[in-house]
Amino acid sequence: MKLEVKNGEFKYGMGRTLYKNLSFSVEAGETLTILGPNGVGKTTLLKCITNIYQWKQGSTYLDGKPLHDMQAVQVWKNIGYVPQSNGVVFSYSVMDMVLMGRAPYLGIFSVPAEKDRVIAEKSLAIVGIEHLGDKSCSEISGGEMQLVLIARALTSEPEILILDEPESHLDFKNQLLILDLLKKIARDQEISCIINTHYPEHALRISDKTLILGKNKKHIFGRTEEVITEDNLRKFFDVDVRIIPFENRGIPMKTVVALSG
Amino acid sequence: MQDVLAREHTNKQNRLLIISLVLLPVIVFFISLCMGRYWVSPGTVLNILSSYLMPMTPDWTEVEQSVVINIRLPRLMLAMLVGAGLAISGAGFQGLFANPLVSPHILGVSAGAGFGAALGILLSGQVGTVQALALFFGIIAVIATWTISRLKSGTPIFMLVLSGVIVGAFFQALISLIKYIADPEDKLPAIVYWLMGSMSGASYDDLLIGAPLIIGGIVVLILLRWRINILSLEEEEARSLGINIQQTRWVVIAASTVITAASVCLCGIVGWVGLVIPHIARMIVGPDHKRLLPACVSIGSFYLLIIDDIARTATAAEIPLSILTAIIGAPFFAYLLRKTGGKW
Repeated sequence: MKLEVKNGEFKYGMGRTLYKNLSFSVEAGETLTILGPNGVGKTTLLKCITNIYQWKQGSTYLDGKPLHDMQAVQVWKNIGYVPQSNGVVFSYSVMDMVLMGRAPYLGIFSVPAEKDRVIAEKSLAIVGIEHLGDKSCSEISGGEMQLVLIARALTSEPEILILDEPESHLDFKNQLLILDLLKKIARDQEISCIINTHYPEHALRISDKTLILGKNKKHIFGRTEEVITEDNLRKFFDVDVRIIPFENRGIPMKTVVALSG
Repeated sequence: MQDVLAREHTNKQNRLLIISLVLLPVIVFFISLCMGRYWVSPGTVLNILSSYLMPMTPDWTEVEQSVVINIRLPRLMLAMLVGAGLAISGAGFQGLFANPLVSPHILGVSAGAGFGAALGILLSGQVGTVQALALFFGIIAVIATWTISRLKSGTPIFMLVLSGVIVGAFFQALISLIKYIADPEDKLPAIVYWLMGSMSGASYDDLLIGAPLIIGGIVVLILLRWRINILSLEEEEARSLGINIQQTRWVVIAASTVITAASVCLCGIVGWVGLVIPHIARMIVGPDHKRLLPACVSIGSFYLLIIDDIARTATAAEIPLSILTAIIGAPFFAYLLRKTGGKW
């Protein structure tokens, strides 16, 4: 499914305008990374894309259909949203948490049935935590919790996955795990992924396209390798950086080093 | 294979749990029918009850029949209804507010209903007037909370809680005012006694009004049981699961309000049940509201039955319910809390 934003504009109430004439698109199975310094509205943008907040101008389109004309349930059958995990008040079991992803398909008075459980189990398997089903969400690690939230989003059988800094407070290994998983999901399930992150390297690693948001409504969008350049990073993040290409087992890779502010 | 065995084992445990949760209140209900200042043997109680289903020649006294049918039966049914109702609306609110410290009184309904009842006692003292005013002001209080908390973009949860606190404080002050001006010889004790909760006035007429309201509220909450899991997530997270949270939230609030207002109007303010029974139920069946809400119905009705048994049999005079729910409930809950370390 293709997701497209055309001429998006947003501000909070009477506040300053965060973006203007913002346009970008993701095709089926593509990954888009959104980069930008703190406070430019990366999380807000995800909420605008999904109509949790309403665009002041412009709109989001799913396969050419404007999102604001669709019913919320319809939207959330197509889009799976993975919020930043803030822990849970009630320590639901992993299975119960993942089952909540079936909500868009169930009537207000319904409870999940066996077939919903099968779908939830499949999602657990995709993210590789089928052994955690009976564990309580308060007993698992931060990395595992992130996987639970991804599994819950997959349980809505979406065509687009939107993730808010999915790897932000995880260690090296878990960051890698999440990134590779997202890459796999995009490739195998043809699910488009839209990801917020603070790490340009992560964008280089997994994304086809990149959007960098800057202060004063500036932004740049395009193919990742064209967007993530030393010049652009300097311009948008106000730091001197060096992008160093190298080869690992024959695969070309790039690393980004910040030099000075 | 081991997996299958393990699952069968948990299934078996589950079934046992469900059976005990169903049977427990029923058994206590039956024993409670025998208990009281006037002991009626279980056999006689059984015969008296069956005589309404099939023709029987009575071998019991008319007093026994009257005690069981006219006094104890409506009273016990009321205790079960109120216990179940308060416990389930407490669990519903705790889920809705994603806060385990919340009780059904959070939105000001009890304070409003308490004020209505106090006003009724002050003005007339007739049971009908007291109940009608209690129900009326209970609902008025929640409408006031709703009005204060409403913003153009919907109602954030903290606005709702704060509005409830405001409305509750306001009606508490009005209750104090009524106590202050009430005749200390006659009206004041009645008001104070009523505010502490009692089942002693239970009658079939009461049940006829109260039961449909309380049962209706319970049924709605039970139907919503899985949705409440989702309501307990953060607001935007819940929205991203495609549910209409504002709407669902108000249905939960309306159902809980009806239950609580009806309970307060029938038997005064019974504290503690709505706060603590959900926790006890959570220890037994876990946090999933799909299981938690039905468990609350069972444990709530069971708990209030026992409390009411003590209230009417422990001393020559009736002990107000709110005193007992906490005096017995608090140490018990403290024990559970210590034992589990607050993890459930």
